[in-house]
Amino acid sequence: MMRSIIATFLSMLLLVPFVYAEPDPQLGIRKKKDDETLEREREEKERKRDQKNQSRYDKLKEFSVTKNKNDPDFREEVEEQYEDLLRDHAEYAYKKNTTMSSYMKTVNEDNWRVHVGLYDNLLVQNLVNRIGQKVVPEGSEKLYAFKVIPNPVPSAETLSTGTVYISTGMISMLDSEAQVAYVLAHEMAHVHYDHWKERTMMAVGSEEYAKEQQAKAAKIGMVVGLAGAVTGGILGGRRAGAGGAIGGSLLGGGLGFAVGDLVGNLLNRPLIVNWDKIQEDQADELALKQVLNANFDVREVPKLYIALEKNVTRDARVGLGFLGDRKRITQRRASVQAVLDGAMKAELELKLKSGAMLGDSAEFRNLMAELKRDNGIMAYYHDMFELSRNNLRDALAVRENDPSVHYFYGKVMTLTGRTPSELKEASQSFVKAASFDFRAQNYGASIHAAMAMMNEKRAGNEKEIIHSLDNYVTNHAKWMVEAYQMRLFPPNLDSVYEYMRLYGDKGWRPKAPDLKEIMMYAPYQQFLGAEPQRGEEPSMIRKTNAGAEDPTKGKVMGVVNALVPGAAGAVRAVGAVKGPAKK
Amino acid sequence: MRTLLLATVIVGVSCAQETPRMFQLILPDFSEKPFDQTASTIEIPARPIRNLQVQVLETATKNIGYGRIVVRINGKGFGNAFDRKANLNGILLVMNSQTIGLRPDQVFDPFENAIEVVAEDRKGRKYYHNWVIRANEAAPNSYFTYTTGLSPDDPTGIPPDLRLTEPMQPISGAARVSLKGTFGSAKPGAILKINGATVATASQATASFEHALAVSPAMKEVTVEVTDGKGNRRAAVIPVIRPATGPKPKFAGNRYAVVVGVSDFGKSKESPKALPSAAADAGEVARVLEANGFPKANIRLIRDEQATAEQIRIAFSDFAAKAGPNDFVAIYVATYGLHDPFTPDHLYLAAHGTQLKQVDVSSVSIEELATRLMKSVRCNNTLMVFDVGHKLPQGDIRFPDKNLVNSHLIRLFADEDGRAVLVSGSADESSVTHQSAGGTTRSIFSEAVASAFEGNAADLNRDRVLTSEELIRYVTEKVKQQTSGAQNPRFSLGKSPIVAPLAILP
Repeated sequence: MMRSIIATFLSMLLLVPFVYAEPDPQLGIRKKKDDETLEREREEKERKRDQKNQSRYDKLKEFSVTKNKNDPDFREEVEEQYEDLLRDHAEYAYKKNTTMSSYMKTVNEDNWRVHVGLYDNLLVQNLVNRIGQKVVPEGSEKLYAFKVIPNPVPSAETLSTGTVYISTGMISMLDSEAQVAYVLAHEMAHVHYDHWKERTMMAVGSEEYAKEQQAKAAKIGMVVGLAGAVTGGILGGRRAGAGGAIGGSLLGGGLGFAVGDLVGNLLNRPLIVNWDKIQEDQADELALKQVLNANFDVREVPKLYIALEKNVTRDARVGLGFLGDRKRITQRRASVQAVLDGAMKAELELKLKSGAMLGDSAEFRNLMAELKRDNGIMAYYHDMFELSRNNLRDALAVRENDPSVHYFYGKVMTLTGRTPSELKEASQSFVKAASFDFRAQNYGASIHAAMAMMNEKRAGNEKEIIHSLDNYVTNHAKWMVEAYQMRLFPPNLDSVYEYMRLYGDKGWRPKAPDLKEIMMYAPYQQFLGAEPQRGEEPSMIRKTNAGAEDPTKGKVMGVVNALVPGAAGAVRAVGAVKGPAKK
Repeated sequence: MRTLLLATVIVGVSCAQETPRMFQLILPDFSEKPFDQTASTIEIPARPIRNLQVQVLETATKNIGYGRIVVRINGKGFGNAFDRKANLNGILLVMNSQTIGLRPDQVFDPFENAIEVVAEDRKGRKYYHNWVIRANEAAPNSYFTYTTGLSPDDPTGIPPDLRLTEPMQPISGAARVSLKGTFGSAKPGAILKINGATVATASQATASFEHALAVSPAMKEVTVEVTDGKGNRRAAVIPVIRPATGPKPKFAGNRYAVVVGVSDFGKSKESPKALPSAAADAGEVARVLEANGFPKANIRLIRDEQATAEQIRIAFSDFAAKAGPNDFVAIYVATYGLHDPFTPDHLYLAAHGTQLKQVDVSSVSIEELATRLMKSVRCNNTLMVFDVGHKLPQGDIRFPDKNLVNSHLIRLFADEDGRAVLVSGSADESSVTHQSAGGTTRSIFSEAVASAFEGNAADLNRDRVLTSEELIRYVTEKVKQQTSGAQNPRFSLGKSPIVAPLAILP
């Protein structure tokens, strides 16, 4: 015990000079130098790793290509596996394409549109597809489709069918149409270069390669084992006669097999090639070329990598898909920059002089405001706070009268705001949401505005608080009535409202079909089966605003009842008189 | 000195720091030459703006991305009405008839437009500049309706000129009216028609006219129209107002008023200089309202040291909230309207205690004012009058661009029902003051507001009821006349007009 105390004391004495030492003025410089050295070492390490990967990749590719050329069985296997992949991808696309696109969801006081499968905004889908088609190489034999999927996590992926999926989260993070064009072009390039087929061929090749190496390993094992057995037998025989010889043989044989197996395994270790790198580089190169050819401002590409790198550092969920190997972002940015400063420089300058290069179009900016609103809301529910804040703030710059944007901006600011000014901003957002909410869709704004006023703890605003709470209750009921009726209308009604406003009909409301016309179909009610599954939440399809089961299960009756609550009974009566007799 | 100030852009770091030129405005319909940051108010011929471009310079060195450039026109975000292109100078924002079509709302005002551009670099630094574009003609008469039309054969032409000097008000109660003014076009030959009948042809580029017109009992308006040789036209419609008949309308609701006047901003070194007219003007407006049907208990008059930012907030929300849906709320504010020099796209109304270096925390932002009124005022009869175009004395100027507080204020409730806004002047126009008979400094605008309640000058249909619209048009024309066009009040009548009367005149 005493010893340990002395030891501690002595060690503290030893430490004192360091603790109280004057700061070394050279320390900062040395530290910087150390950092630089470390960085250089890291880069060198990465370079060597890349070289190694490249060499392994080349080896495997050479092996696979040769096999594919000379071995019909191999070729057949590749074709078979590729066909399986095509079938899987077609099935995947079918599921995405046929999933119900959107429905309104209510969680407590929040009310928003949930998008499933594909992002339910025709104009955005159309624009993104047009951007994608612009960057397809002229004369390409393949056909492509560029689609937006509703996911706040930034991602972009390609199917062997020629389908390119880009998530709303990815688009919302991009700063310009040129950047969107680049991501789409990059994904398209994977199909253009038949990377899926190459991947299949190399997967089959990798298996074959492994098998061949396994066979080699077995041979080596056998030879080394035999050699071991012989050596062991001789040595054992010298020491212990026949028994020893047998034992020695076994031991030696065992050792020999072990060594042989080890050698074989070393030769046969799975080729963990970073072969995506090669394909990513190919895709980057073609994308850059196509973006420039399509007259997009290609100088946006390095900025895209900087932005993604920054976001990846902050949120690990960011960058799935398009980014590939995260460690390579800096490298990819550098190689893109090198192309811009070298091979593309002259053409770039020429285009800059002509003023023809587009960063983004008015149409893009207009539609991005819609997309950012929707993605901001999705991000809010995924607790991706920063993305949500940024998206909704950007949407507000264009859609300053949109109640949903104000409402969810208020929500995210209330949840994550720390300073009084942030909380004030949140409170103002709720007030604006309530004020612009002519469809009573964001009724939750009223209760949040009331809560913000309560938190102010200021005398004299009781009337406002009461008014806001009253609004909340009434508008909730109004919305429930509208939501119930909205089942009859297309799910993308919000967009239709938007377009109606854009083309001059500001007060447009969806019209109910002529009741008389619908009644004509009432007699056939019994022939109609169950309602088709629409992927809609059961509560929205079946339940009334009071939560009761819809009494009319038939499609026609459902429609009639939705149009004129209480009419179902009347229709049934008509059906009983005029309709075909029930069997 | 003024030129020097205009050439300086506030970057959000330091006011004294000189910053490079960052923006140029290009109006291709009018001039190929860009207007840079030193340009003062830009005067253009009175024809519609179809194309507008903003060149953001040095975007690469300043690291400004396409998505980080915001353009506002008359206080409203219009960033989505521009294509953004790259050129050797940076980023060029292009608005044309195709991109304008993406906006359902009206982009440009026929008389005056305020353009603001804010660019933010990747480190969050902001660069700001604004321009005011004005048609080079007298501000239109607020009582009259103007229309222009370009011939399909001359889409880049300029509509002919038409200036009416008489009458200056709607035709009211007279059997004959004298119409006087000038008309013309670039080339001689413009034809003047009154109610469809040709009355004169200009033998020179500009000609004057005088015409006596018999006003028939059925006549509802008089249309004066000029057409040039190419078929371009301009018309002014003068309403004919008949004296009202029948019983005097009654108003069953209550009237409430919030009247704010800040002359004294505090004694700190950073307080704005005193504004002598504001408190006196507010007092006079409160007196007139009380004399015309606003009960004293329903008028919240706050002046000088009472008019702190917090007290103004309380008055706007709690007091104004007392009004029910069928009541009437009048709001009057006289103070300085300011841009925050550090974030110039944010605008404020100065209060007692305002510090010029901390405008954001010591003043009332106009966005906040709007949300408070949106939240608290439930009645659809709300008249808001702002005399906030007072310029800070030279020494206090921290903001080198044009003051656009008036442009922003008239936009705030333009899309709302029953909310009218009257501001003392056009963009960057100073509110003119003078010494009244009693030796007090008064604002001509606020005096005109008070005088609308006296006599029947504002009550054109002589029904002894003063409506908000009557007051607004009367004040607008009176101030223009009294200042010889140096101050041109502007207004918005909201999406639908205020129904309830402002006052029942004696």
